[in-house]
Amino acid sequence: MNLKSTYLFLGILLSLFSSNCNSSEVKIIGNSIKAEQNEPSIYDLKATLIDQNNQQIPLNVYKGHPVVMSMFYATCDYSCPLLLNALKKMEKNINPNILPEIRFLLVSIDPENDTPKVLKGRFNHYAFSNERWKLAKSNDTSTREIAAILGVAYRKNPEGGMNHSSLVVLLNNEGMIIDRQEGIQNAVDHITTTINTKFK
Amino acid sequence: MVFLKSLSVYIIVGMGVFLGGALTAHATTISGMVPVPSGTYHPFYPLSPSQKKIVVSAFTVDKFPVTNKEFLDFVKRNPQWQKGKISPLFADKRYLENWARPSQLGPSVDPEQPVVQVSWFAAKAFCQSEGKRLLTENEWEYIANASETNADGRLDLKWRNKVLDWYTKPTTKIQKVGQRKPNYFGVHDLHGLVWEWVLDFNSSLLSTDPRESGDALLSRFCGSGALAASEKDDYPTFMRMAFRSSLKANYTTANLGFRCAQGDSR
Repeated sequence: MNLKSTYLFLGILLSLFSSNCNSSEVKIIGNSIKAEQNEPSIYDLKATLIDQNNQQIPLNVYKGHPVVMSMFYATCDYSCPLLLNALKKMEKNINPNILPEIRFLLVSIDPENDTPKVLKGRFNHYAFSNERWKLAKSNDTSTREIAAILGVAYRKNPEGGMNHSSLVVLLNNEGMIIDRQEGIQNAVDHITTTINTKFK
Repeated sequence: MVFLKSLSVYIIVGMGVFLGGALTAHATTISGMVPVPSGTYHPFYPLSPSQKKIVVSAFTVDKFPVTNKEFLDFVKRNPQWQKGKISPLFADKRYLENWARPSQLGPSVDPEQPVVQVSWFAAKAFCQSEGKRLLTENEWEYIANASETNADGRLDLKWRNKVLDWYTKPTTKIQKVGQRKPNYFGVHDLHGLVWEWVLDFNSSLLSTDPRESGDALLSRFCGSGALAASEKDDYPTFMRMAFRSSLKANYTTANLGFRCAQGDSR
């Protein structure tokens, strides 16, 4: 394989990989956004989590609400603080008529270390509202499955901490992914716009 | 991938049967696992300085990829995993599309071929049903790094060229499992047959865009283990990493199958 065709192939692979997918066409029905017919609900995955209040919750705890979802871990010192701060600021930028309906679900990629007590510490640090936010963790299997569904790549770093990608996902009331953005601030901005323009 | 004709294998096998010698690796023994002792493995593309040498704990592994026949038995016993019944969350539209019917292979599908057009979720469910699991990427790469005669095939240029040959030629019809000699660990078909799912397929942060570096990488990936690979010291390994990074959990492809393992993966 010569170099040119190699880069072409890698370019194709990259476009598969980066999958910066635009939201599928959305039809507005009432207060909820419907995704395309073929889009499944992530709630087809049965998973049990524990939140910052040590409550057991199912993955579909916020069914009936649009959900902003992402993954993080508590001892992350670079991208996760950026992400969590950006998500918190979203509340100011979301249309105040819509905000009461929105929920935020953040799942840990480091379930071993992110106990409910640790999650609670982070929760208080960012002063999230108990009404709209949950920081939660699951077991190894469900964590890997949730990450696989959302498209988050992660790996334990032998030097400590995790290597992981950053992205934000927007679910409709039924748990279908209607927007998915990689990155941090740009992702949050994009999701905010989607929420403000698509909801009535 | 490409399939070398190993006539010599058939001759040796024939002689072995004739002489009544014991054969440890034969295509008719489709079931069965082999133990892999713990060891270290040196990835071609370490994701950080501390990952240059990876210790892999002992485990047992399927000698062959899971076959159509085995997967058919599984979906008959677990109809929720049949095509048509399964949620698109767990498998895409092409799930088992090469089979004639949801619980029937049909005449053009060989029972002893590795099963393909299966998603990560389906592969996981199969392994779980047997009390097994998928291999971790480290485990898979560890055994795949072995040549026929050596646990570490890196220095065996002849073997590496053979593997490279398979990766750089287009696929023809997929053969039955077990047509080739096993590797040092007694495992067959890690190269030259189908790509294989691993448990943590979504664990490598791989940028294949040679222009992406620095801040762009940092905003997408957190941690020191993001690989921006512009060189391919080991083309097959790089291809596998790039391929795994491009996968989603519900994807199925015509050249992607799997095998199972047992043992503590930590």
